[in-house]
Amino acid sequence: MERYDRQLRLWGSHGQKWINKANICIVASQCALFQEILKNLTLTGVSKFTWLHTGEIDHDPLFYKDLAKGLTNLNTTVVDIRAQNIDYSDSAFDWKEYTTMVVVNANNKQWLENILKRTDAEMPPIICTYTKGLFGYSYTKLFVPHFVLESHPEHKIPDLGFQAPWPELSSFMSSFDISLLSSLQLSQLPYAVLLYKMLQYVKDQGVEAPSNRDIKAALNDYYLGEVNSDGFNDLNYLQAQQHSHLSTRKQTFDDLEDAISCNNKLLQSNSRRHSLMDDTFSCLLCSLGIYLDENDRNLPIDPNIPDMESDSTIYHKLKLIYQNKWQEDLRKFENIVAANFPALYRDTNLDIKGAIRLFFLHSREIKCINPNEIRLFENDGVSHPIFRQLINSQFEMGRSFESELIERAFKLTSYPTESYMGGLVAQETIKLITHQFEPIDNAFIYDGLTNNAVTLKV
Amino acid sequence: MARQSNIVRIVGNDSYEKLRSTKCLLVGAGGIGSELLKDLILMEFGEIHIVDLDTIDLSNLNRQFLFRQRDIKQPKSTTAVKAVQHFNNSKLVPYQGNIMDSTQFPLHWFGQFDVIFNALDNLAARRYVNKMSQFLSTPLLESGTAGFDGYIQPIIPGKTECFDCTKKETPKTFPVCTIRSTPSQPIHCIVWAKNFLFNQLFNAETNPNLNEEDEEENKDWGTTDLDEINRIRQETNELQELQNIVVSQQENRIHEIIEKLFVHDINKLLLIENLWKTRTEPTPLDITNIQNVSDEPSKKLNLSEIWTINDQVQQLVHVTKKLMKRMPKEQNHIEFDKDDQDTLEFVATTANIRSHIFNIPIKSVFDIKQIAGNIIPAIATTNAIVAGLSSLISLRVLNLLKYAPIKSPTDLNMAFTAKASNLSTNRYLSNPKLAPSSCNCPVCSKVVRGVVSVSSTKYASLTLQNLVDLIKDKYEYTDEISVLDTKNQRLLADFDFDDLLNKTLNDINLTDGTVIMFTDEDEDENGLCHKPLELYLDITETLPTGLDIRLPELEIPLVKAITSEEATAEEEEELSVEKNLTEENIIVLDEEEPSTKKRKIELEDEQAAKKTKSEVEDVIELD
Repeated sequence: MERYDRQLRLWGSHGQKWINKANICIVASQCALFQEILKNLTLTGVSKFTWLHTGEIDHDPLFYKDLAKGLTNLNTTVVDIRAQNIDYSDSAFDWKEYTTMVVVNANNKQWLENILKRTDAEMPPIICTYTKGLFGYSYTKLFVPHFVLESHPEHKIPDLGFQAPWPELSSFMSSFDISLLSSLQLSQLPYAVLLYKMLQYVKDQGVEAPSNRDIKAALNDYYLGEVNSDGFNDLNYLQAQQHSHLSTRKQTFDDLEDAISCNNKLLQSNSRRHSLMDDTFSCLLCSLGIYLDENDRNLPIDPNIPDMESDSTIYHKLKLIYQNKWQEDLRKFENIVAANFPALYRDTNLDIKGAIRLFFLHSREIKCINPNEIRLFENDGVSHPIFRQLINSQFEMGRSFESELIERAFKLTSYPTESYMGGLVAQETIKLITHQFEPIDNAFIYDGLTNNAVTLKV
Repeated sequence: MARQSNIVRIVGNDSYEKLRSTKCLLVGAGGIGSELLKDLILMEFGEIHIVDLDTIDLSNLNRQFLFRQRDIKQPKSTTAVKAVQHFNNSKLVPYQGNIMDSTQFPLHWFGQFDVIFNALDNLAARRYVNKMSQFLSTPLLESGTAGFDGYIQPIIPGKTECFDCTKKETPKTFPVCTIRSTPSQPIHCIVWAKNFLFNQLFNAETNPNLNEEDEEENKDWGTTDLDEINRIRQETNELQELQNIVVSQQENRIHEIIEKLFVHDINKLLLIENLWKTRTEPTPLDITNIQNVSDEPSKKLNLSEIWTINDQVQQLVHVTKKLMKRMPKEQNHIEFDKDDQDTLEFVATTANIRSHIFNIPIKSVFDIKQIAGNIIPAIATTNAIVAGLSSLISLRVLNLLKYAPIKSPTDLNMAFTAKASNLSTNRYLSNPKLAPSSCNCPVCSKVVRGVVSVSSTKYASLTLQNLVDLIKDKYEYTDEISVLDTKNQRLLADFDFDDLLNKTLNDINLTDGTVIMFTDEDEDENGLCHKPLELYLDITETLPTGLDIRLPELEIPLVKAITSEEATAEEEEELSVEKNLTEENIIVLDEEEPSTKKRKIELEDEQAAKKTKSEVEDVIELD
């Protein structure tokens, strides 16, 4: 795994495992963009490709004259590229065995339109891409919802779980008799304790759910007014002020709820993709739904509480309480999986315990990207001028350029555009394969003339 | 050929000739470098010089597509050039060397290039190349990646912000006491193991006494507790004894080392009661853990898992034996290297045992490797994206896209890319316009920079007075001019010091590569004077015939007068910043640490990228 060390740190060895297992179908001619995408995917660890050759002769500058030779040893296994000429009339082609499909610079509009308009749930996600001159686009078509299991948000809001305190937490909190502590001892309490005590105080005053705005004032009244009037400069008090919103925050997980109900519908209608990965995650999502039903829709506690200014013994105790609670939640979840999906739970082909653990740990990050209606080829489907222009150019549907400048920039070949789009399309493919990081939903347009890029939904 | 006709279509016939005669310098043949080299070749740049000091490592191969398993340990620059031959149509010149080595790469060597591409992985080299580009007014395309994040920044000297105009985050450091007596996070224990313990035991050149005394004056102890300070000093001395065990290879005494570090030293710390009033007391390692160590070779442990404390101790004994055996072969001098499994496991196990003692969570070897080696995630796709951006914008920087000329350098864009296609702005790529160089950055704005080229015959007779006269004539400086050697802030001449004026430059040790600063001391009626001028002295044989000295064509603006004291103070400030950076005694969390090479300061790329990013783009900041 040493070879993949630098990327394992982004998506973990479980992410890498799905990359190594992926089977990608690429529809392309021997062009620069195709080579760039293939090179990037191979480097990342994909080694199984089907190349449906579209036959046109391209004059692109290429860095692999002999593709198979060029890709040799670019990853740890033998790169297996099954090349065959595309048969546009073959309606029986078996798409479902592919993890993802990439369609590069296709020019057969009828064929592409038919593929994109298919309704069978077994179709893999398709990324269509096209570059011309200084411009390029990529468009991701989903046929069933795509579940992102680890979206790796930039910022995570900590959850102290005060909305549903459990016995260990409550008894820990009540072990501090605030009125008996000296101001030194008070200054050594983690801010979570101050916030918890403040909430109790507010409740005693008859206020059930103070608003975010009131909460700061309440903390002020309670702590400085009732407990420790000298504490206004203490670091723990300042942190409590700063994080006061955490005390009443009811974390909502619309994305997760959406994913669960989506998945349940798919399970009922059985209109979904069947693969080891899809089946596994489908079962886990369904189990998570059951877990939430049984737990008042409270998500598993977040085992990693933020750093707090505090006496280190107290902080460690607090941390342990969260971690133990999480372990307990995890056991509950495991039991649900075992009871509802015994076959999966006993499957020895995959590290199911590890998968359950990771899934549960990242359950707050789950997102569901819904399939989109394809309107790419309709006249009003795409309003972005460069996007429109690219589609017109791709399928030779007439040309009316906004300006002479853009017209010139369209007629060029620009290797940097291929490199850029090749990187982007491979990156989107990796997101889909690993079910980590949010893919672009659903179109991306690159304009090298202004070095501008937009994502939009069509 | 077909490819050529396509390129002509990109830039047009005139520009194609210009493109073919363009000389590029590519600094770095790693992740971005491999991609850039390919792009520049396929764009048909005439000549590309590639500099890299590194050799190829296994962990490069997930993205540096020009290299294969068989190339491991080979120099990157030459291997890259060999690997591109089959599609190459440019003149390629590889160098294996450090770009900051002014003997191998003097300024006039930089002077041959029309454009410089930075594809570097460390802050020091980035700043250095930035400075060279400022002296020579050569456009620089700066770039970097960290995981899914990447950026490019075109730098047009004198016209747009330079690399140093935006503040870069400096490496994180910790007070001595946190590391040595009161750790509270895994990182503290890792720093202790890597920067302190490892060196003390396996680097026999380290003389603890000397070090301590040298740094005594300005050491950041992070505590004023005398007991604590004394204990830290004493402990360092005691470690000398442990080093002797290692050097003399007394395997049977390894348990003594462990006992000393994790039992006796902890007990001594416990005696300093002040430390434990608000902290949890550490618990010395259970002695049975040490006694239980078997002579059996340890079982196969999973590097991604968290080992038990018994396994940690067992593995520590095992790896210490291995390192001891290596000592004589390696001149009693082993350096920590994240890719050297023995050194990594030594650091990981000792850090973890210490964490265990201080009630800090222990970590897997995989995770410790990331922290101790300052590993930054790196993937092929981001590199391809950034190289594409950088190579495309170079055409515009060189004004080779005639149909889309730039009116002003500030019309150029920088670009940031992120996995966060779904950032608040919903952009995959953000592209702020470049800012003009109007900040107070010491590199590009305080002074005007240029190169004075002198032939060696002329140099032999050139006096300081001659040079001053030439400068006055050329740039219309007044008579009141002060001259400074910037290397050591040595005053060479001013209105009441003219002793050196009649000496030759050689007499007063102004040699090739010296940077001389000229300051106008006389303000006009509006309180304005010429901006200070820094000239890099370049002794060269490449001047056109008939010319023995050449001053740069510069326009020196009038600015509000500043006193020479102020100017000197600024310069010193700059120097002292650099000094701090290079002499940091506890270095932590830099960027990826180069294997076995001594490079001390570097900054985590990611942080640099993020820092700049947050300055130009609204990123949601929590709390």
